[in-house]
Amino acid sequence: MALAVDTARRPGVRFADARLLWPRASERLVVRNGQAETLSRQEDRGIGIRVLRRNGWGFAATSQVTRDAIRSCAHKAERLARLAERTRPSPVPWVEEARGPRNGRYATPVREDPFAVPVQRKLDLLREAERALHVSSRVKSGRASASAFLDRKWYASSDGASYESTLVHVGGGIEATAVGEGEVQRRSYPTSFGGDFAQGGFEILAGLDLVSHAAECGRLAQRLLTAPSCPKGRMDAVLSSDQLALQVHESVGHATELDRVLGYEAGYAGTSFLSPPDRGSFRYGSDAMTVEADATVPGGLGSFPWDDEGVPGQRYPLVREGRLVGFLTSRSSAGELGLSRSGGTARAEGWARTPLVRMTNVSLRPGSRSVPDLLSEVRQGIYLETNRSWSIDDRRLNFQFGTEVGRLIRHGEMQGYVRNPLYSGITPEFWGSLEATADASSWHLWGIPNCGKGQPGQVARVGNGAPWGLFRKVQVGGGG
Amino acid sequence: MRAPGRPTGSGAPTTGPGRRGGEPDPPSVRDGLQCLERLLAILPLPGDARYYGERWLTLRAANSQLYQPQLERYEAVSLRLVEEGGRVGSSTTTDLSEPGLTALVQEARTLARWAPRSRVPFSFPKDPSSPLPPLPFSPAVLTDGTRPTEALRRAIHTVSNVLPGARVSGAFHQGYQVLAVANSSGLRRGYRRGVAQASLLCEDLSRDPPASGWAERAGWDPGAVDWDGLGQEALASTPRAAAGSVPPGSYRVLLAPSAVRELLGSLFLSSLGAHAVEEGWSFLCEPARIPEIPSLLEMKEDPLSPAGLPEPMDAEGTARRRRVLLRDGVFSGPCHDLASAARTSARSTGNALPPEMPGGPIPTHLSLRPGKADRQGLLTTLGRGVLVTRFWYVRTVHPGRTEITGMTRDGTYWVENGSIAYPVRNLRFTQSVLATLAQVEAVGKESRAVADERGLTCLRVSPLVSGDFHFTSGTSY
Repeated sequence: MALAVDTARRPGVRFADARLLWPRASERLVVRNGQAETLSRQEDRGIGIRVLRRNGWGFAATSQVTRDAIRSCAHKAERLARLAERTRPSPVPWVEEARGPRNGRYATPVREDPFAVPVQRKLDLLREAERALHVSSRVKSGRASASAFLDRKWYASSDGASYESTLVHVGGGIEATAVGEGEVQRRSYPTSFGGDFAQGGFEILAGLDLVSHAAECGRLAQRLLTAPSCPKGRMDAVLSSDQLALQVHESVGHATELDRVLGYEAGYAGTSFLSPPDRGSFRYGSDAMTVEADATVPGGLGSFPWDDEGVPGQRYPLVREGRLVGFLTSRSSAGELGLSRSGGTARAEGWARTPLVRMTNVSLRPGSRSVPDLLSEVRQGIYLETNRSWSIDDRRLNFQFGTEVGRLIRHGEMQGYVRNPLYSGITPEFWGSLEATADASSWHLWGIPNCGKGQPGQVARVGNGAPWGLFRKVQVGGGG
Repeated sequence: MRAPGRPTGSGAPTTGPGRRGGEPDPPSVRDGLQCLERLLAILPLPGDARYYGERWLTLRAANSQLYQPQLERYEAVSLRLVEEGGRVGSSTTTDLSEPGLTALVQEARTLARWAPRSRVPFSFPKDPSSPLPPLPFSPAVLTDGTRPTEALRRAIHTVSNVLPGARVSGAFHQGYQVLAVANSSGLRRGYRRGVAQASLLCEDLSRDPPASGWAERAGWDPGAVDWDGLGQEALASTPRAAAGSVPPGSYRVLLAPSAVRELLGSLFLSSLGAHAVEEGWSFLCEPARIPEIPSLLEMKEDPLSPAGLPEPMDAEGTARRRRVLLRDGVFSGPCHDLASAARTSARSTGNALPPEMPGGPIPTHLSLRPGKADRQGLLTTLGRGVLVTRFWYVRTVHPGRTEITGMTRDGTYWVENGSIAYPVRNLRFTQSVLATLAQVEAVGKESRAVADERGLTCLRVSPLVSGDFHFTSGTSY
């Protein structure tokens, strides 16, 4: 590591850092219709070196972890930084980091190493869960999956940070797809698109108890085939924890990434409807809305001791009682905004990618009311649970989400199911209609393992927590 | 969000490449096959393996400056082996040393041992007598970043000179890829190719709300990227007048090539794959429900065309070939890999993805037959409606009905009497892909290659005029 940083630190270089991952490993097991569709393991290793000259960044990565290759890689990064300087007339903003412990070791507390648990045990769990999904012939497809990730990382920078971290992430889920009546309906547990993930060992997967929930999953997928279409119109909507967490992810988390706000992701992921002066003044939502970024939550998928710029993970508010108070920041973007310190949210996928501003665990805080109390506020409305489709514009304003489950609410009571529910809105208007959030008993920190951003594309594992929430006069529509 | 792909890592090259000034030579097909021979020599079971050797240069532009330039090199091997009873396990590594390959075999074997027995096992094909067709190749894919940096800078200046104060963003991806495939039945094949993908976004921030335009290119020769044309096209699609509003409703549309690519993207391509048919959610499962599609729309899988990003074989070593997907309103059967073909007594169509990528076989080189209409002819056919440069964040609403939702982006216009009347604020749509295809009235004569950043899919598409397109809401910009 010292060789990488020392080689990169040539005249004119303001900062250099290196990340070595050895190994970065993953395991994915998928059982579909009784067959092992995917049983795969991937492992790679390598080093990424980043160089900041006065007016530009350069980054190069290689897996050849030899002295020659590391020197060559450092030189390439430095040459790219020189190239970048040709197009930038002013210095790259940058904030120093001297607070908190910047050297040390961290390892995810793991009760059972997921990579050491016999494959048979994991497959038995998945097979039993998948089998239980098939409650009738209308369940055409069942799927049970589990994944584990290991990132063992060494980091060193020219300003003195040096750490070693070992992060282990585990998760999984099940889904039943029922076909009939010209319809296709899917029901997932504990949530869609691969399930739920957290930091920890095999105990995370075992704790999901997929087997116990599978039959109900299959039954509901089948039941949704013949449910009436979701009504259309403006109505009160109660969002489940998992759906509201995704809403936070898409319309708050991404929107408060400062690199997007400053235009650095305009070419691909998009920008944000927020602007730098909005901090401290912009009315994001109702008083019931408080969102914070917290990289220190034990077990969070977006928790880490240090980010990929050597900044300790932090906890701080983004939205307080409906008002925007913070952004997710890196050392460079914080400098551009004139902040004194990075929020410590710069992370990269693996060793072959450069750090970007990413979510940590970005969560909506719970309120004080019980779920029945929250429902009692609804005379006529709809309950929406588990995302089925999501789409939001490049400024994070106009969104449309579909959910697997919709249930009508009448006078505070859950009624029958409706199929293909959708809801849509404009971000600040939608959050402005947040009447209340339920208490902590309904709150869950969900792990989202596939948050995409950047060019070349990077996938980050992040956390989003939410309780149930009641929104007034939401535009609801049915997909048929 | 995206699905996991190939490993982004790189492995210690143990194939003994030569060195030029400390820099290893780029991996060759021969290097890849030699590596796979070492792997197969210790493979005790039937199986197939892939070698990936790649080098990538990415230059991003943001805020009219070069941003996050990066270089990446990696080599990796993926192995799929079959235990007794058709039990399959696969594993991937970037550690190409002997211990690394030995561990790879052990990993895959461990996984396969516990896999359920396959109901319909597949077998690996023998080495075919016919060689793979040669691909065009440009040494420019191995050059450093100096030339593209200058080209990108010129493109930024092109835009800035016309629209002072415009914010220019974009990216240029230049890749060198080697894929070699070997299996226990004797197949040994490989190819190398180049990938160049460039995009430019022009935002006029002097307008409130800001206006933006877009252009993109893809091809196998980075030296052939038309940077001036890219800048001009991004400028041309950037609105120069205040945007008006279009109320939600159904309108006729003229879809530019980038919008057509998004329309025919993920859901449609997946629906043409064997997995979607086996799972019962593809529209191919119910031919009677497919609306009548006009014969002026013809689609084929065209993996060898030099007008795209040609690939002579798939990830199982099966030769890719030209194949009709839609003709005279009739869709052909689904795309297959070896496993799905065995399950349905079909033959592989050469559409296998690497085993580490989920989703099963899909067409990755879809080509739409160009029509005869030039731009003005398309506008005249449209008459009155919405011109869409690009869609964004397209997601599935209902797979069986091919219903998708998304936004317009980077140049949306109202057309009146066959002429562009004024730019309009972005719109959300929820629309069936098949319904759009069924209402196509004209296909443009322009054919444009559009690809993802690593060239996994490259579609050749033409602009389309179609009938009722459902826009469900608007935006303030």
